Amino acid sequence: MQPHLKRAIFLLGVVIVGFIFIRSLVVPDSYGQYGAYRGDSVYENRNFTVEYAGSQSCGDENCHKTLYSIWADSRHKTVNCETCHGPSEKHVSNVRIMPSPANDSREFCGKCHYKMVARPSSFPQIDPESHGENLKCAYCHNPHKPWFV
Amino acid sequence: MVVELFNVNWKVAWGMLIANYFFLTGLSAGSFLLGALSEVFGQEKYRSVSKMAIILATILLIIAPLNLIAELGQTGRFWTLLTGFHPTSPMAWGSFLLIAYPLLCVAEGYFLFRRDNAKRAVSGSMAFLYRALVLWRTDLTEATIAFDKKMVKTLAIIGIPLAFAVHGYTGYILGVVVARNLWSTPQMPVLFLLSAMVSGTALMILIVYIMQKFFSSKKYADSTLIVNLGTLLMVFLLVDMLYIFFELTMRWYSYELSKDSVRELLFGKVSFYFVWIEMILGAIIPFLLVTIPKIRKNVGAVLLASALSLMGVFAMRMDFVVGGQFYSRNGVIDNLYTSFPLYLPPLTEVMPFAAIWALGFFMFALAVWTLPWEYKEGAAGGD
Repeated sequence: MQPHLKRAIFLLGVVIVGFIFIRSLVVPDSYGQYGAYRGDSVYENRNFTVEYAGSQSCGDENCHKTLYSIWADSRHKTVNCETCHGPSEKHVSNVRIMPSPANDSREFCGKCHYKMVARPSSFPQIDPESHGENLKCAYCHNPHKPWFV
Repeated sequence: MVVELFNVNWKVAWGMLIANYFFLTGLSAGSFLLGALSEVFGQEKYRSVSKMAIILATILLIIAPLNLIAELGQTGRFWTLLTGFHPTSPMAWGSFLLIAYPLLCVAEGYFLFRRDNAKRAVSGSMAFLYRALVLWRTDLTEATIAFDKKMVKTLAIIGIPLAFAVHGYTGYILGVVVARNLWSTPQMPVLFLLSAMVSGTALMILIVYIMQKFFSSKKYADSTLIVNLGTLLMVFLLVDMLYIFFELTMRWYSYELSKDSVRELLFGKVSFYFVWIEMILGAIIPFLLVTIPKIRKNVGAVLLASALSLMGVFAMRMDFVVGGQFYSRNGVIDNLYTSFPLYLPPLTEVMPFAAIWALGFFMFALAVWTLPWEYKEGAAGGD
């Protein structure tokens, strides 16, 4: 074997061994335990405190039954209560703790309803510049039952 | 209950930087394959570009992944692609291809430039640099020179499938996105490879002309070489245009959604870019320039054709990457993007774009300043 080839192969070997060594240091221990991700993240996520109670719990037990039945029939039935009203687990377990007020800003509604090229054209979208004179959407539209202006 | 999922916050998630990445890897693969013409297939008339080809292939592929890193929201996390390998993710394969391919280019360059570097390593103010470039081994016997030549050929042979893979995979990651009509076809990798050959040849023509005319010892551009490369460009342009013709016509006979994406390319919102800039200005006119017998021997015509086809290939990357996102599976989307220009890249993409190109030019200047890129008749070492 040519001596300069030995040098080159040695250098390549150093790079490969160095890569494997550094990789062995930085790959988390639990990587690949369940799949191509860090196994510990499952436990970390499980240990988070529950903040969302789910839309079902709003309509249960005669709390917001009327509003719930209106919403459940509306075109917004795919948007959960807590999407706008915020996480409410604490409110469900203790009624005295009020959730933060609903987000009713134009920008928040616009996340779904401002005109955007990547949305199906049948989906209701508005141009924020020309529609609604910068009023809050809920001034005209009922968010619990859209189309019911 | 999730009924439909559509993009909430991003209009064009993959913008100019991704197109630029595809463009750069294409240029790199094209340059490498052009260099392999003489090293592997013994096409002696292209011998003098093989050194420039390996310099370009290496530099373009070093700067190409920087686009991807800049494009990440969390740029500091790019290395997790190497630590968290996912065997069924094409992007994970790509991250290893993007390392293996420049390594191979550097290795080939080492053997290709070794003889010239070893000669310069003996004396001079920069002797230390050249000693480092030959790894402190300056043996120059008949045997080592013949061996270097063999190594260059071997590495070039290994490099050909690797170059196909590293660029084919860029088309692959578009092809596997089922949600986009325009992308979701197995032809995508081939389409990208064919235009890569066009852009690689076009860039080589421009670089060879500029370097020979202004920076070589003779200050004279080899017009036969330029015209020969122009002939190659003609062949690649022809194959590329034929392939696009097949793709468009066959998709026209295909199912409705596929037909829709072609209709949009030809008559819809991207049509100005696709028909006029990519096809007419970027393919048909350059093809005529390097085909019509009276003007094809003219160096100026070949240079103009190269510049136009480079622009055409960049337009192709933009049309497919950005344009592909205008049409989703739900059919043609018809709002907002109706005015000219269709898409303006945000500053967060323009700045890295400029920086990456500047870095590329800087690295290229450094490479041609230090490495003996000039081909000398009979005196060539590893080549």
